[in-house]
Amino acid sequence: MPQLNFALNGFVFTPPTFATVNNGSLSFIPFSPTGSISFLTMNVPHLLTNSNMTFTMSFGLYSLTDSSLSLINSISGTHSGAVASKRYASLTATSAAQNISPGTWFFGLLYSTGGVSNLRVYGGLASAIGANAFPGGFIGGAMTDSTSALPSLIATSDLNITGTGSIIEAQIILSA
Amino acid sequence: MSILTPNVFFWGEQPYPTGAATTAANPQLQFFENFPGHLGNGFGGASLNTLSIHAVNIPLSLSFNKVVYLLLRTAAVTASITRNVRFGLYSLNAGTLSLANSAGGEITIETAAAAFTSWISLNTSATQNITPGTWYFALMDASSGGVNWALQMFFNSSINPGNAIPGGFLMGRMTATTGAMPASMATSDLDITGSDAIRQPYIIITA
Repeated sequence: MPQLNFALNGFVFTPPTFATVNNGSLSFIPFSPTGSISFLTMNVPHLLTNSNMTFTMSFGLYSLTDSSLSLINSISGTHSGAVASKRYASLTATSAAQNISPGTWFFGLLYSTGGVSNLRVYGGLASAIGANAFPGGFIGGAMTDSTSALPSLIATSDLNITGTGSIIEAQIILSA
Repeated sequence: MSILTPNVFFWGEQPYPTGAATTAANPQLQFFENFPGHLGNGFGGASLNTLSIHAVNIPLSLSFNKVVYLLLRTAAVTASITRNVRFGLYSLNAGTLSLANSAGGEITIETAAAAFTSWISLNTSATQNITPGTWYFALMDASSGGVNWALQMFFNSSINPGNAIPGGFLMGRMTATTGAMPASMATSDLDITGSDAIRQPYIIITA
């Protein structure tokens, strides 16, 4: 298998737009590198809708076995913006060194925005999505409970997979 | 096992074999989509009793379990509607497409008070671990009756090139009518010109 210098996820749904983050809870998004990539730096585009926004990101790397998501690794970072703008937020603090192998993984995105609302990520979602629960295998979903930490294990059956607010595929770019 | 250039899901990647990697012997995808939704054109009526077929590069192995597509019901449904939708997974050898697996059957659209967009899933006919490489997805509405514009699928494009798609076979549409997925068909029997050929439905295969 090749070793990649970078990998990014795509958009399952149309069209990509800036969607409000699931503040204080997790959104799970798929990530399927076709080669191996060192888990070093993650860049995520955001839309800061207010000036002087500071937010903390804690993203978990999960593997899926049957219907359980297991926490394998994590990466975190804090970003501040003085003005309302579109910005890349960069995360570099990984909990452990890892060479991510090819296949489908899931990132659980946990945001803490300090009470500031309407932080947005650039992702696929919106108009064309079906109104019913996604009927195939798990491709993403959102926790409904609040949390301040990444769960070590979570069942996909505990995630919301219905409607426009459930599956937000935020764009992420991993670079080695 | 050869690693092909990934499909549009990773348009920016360039794999550099710069070092050894720790990988599973057979890395698996959980799902594969034929084209990213953001390249989609929109919903439209599907021609009946003929199939559209297109090439995809599946970069890793994938367990062939569910076929998912989007359906738009453009108005309220006061009575349930039954459609016969079929999917075919084909391989290509020389100029002949051969059916490797299939999914589908009758689906029922239940009553609803207003127009809605719905995911529809089709069950596969046989278990298969799809190997990496180029495959061909075919989808057809084999229902009786005329084109039902009240039931629409999500398609990739509305462009209408004036000439046939050059090069090796990429996509096309049957010109003959059929009520079932053919076991084999020659690419030379497919229409590869214009919007008829380009217009392909959005499909997700999941494990």
